[in-house]
Amino acid sequence: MMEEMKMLNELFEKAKHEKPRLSYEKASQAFIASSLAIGGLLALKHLIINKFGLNTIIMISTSALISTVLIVSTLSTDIPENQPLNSSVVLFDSIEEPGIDKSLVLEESTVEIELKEIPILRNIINTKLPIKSPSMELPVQKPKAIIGTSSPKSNLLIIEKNDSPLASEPADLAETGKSSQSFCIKNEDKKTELECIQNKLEKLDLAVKMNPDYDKTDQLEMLKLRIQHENGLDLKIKVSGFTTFAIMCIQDENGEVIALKYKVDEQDFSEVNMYSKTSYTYSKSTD
Amino acid sequence: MKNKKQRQFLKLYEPIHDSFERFCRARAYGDYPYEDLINESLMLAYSKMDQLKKEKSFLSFLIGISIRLLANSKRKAKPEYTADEDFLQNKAQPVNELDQKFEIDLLYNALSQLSPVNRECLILFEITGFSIKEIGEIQNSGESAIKQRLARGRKELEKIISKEMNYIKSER
Repeated sequence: MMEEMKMLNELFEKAKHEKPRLSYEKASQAFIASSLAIGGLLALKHLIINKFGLNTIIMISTSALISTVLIVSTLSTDIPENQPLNSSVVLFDSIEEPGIDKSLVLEESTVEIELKEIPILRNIINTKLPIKSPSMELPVQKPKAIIGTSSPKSNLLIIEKNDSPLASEPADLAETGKSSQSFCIKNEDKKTELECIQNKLEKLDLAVKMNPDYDKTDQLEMLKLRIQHENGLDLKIKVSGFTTFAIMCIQDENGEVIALKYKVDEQDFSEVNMYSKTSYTYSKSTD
Repeated sequence: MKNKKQRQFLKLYEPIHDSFERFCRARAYGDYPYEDLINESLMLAYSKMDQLKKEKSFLSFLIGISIRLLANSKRKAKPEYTADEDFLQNKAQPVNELDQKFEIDLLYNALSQLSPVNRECLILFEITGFSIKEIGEIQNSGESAIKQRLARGRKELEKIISKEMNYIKSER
């Protein structure tokens, strides 16, 4: 035990008189280098505070924050691919043409539509959009309100005719160059009306085959539809027990169809591009 | 202005560097890189120089700062050099010096196995050369508590050292 004590004392003695492994010069150099780095930051802080003042700093940072929020909100208005269009809030003034009973003739004119969007983060937009429509004759139908849908995520504007089997002509928006045509098939539509829609679709370079089945009450019981495009689109649709079936063709600025959307009744729109091969079946019991 | 303040600070630090370096090396062994501990303590001391009451107590002031830094630190030290590593890196070292380094590292290693309070107490008393009263001030404890810590620490240390020495003898 004494021996160990002695040894420990010796060790402590050696440790007490050991030369420093880190010399004073090295330690002081490291200290000066560190204090320079920290001093630089402190000097910069003092410079900013003295030169600009607190008010200026607050003003600059606030304006930077506001502009960032604005930029982010502007960027987020792009519509995502899978976002159904009917998820947006629709608020459109209805337009009626008084005095026309047998046919609706839309003169080439500029219709002013007041468009309002509701989402919280976006300001209420009050835009006046000129829509040019070529002359068009529709079968005997009492004109009803034209309902427009707008997506808050894009400037895409869709005009649907609520009650007519033939939907609208493209509603061009000067801002984006995008347009769309919607076609609404109702379960009470006859073959001639279906053929009319088919022709319209074919004018858009789409190959369309329709195979309707009618029940005893002369209502569309089932509709088989195949839409093809030279880019590879092959959309097979089989719907039964529906009230309305809507197809929407999204066109680019050259009038070429770039995407198709379709939906049954109140369901969300499904979207396909011009390269997809998709089958869609909808069946609802009519009991 | 700033350079003058720095020079004054370093002038104050120069005479106590060796003691402070030894304390930091012994205390931080296995826990923290001692060079960093020295530098960080100096930086902190420099920024809090207005709190230093007497120039004579500068070493205690620095040691207090380094103890708090270690207590707040969760960093782990890089493995310390052993005598063998030094030997590999610098073959020209005299054999006596190598032996001494090895023994001191053995002591530091044994010290690192004690509780932090006992370890600090022993280092301050045996290596840095502080009196029991001074240690009491640093550790905020009474003299009897310090004496007890010293006695317990030494006892533990003797056991650890004898074990290690027996192991080394049996290896030889």
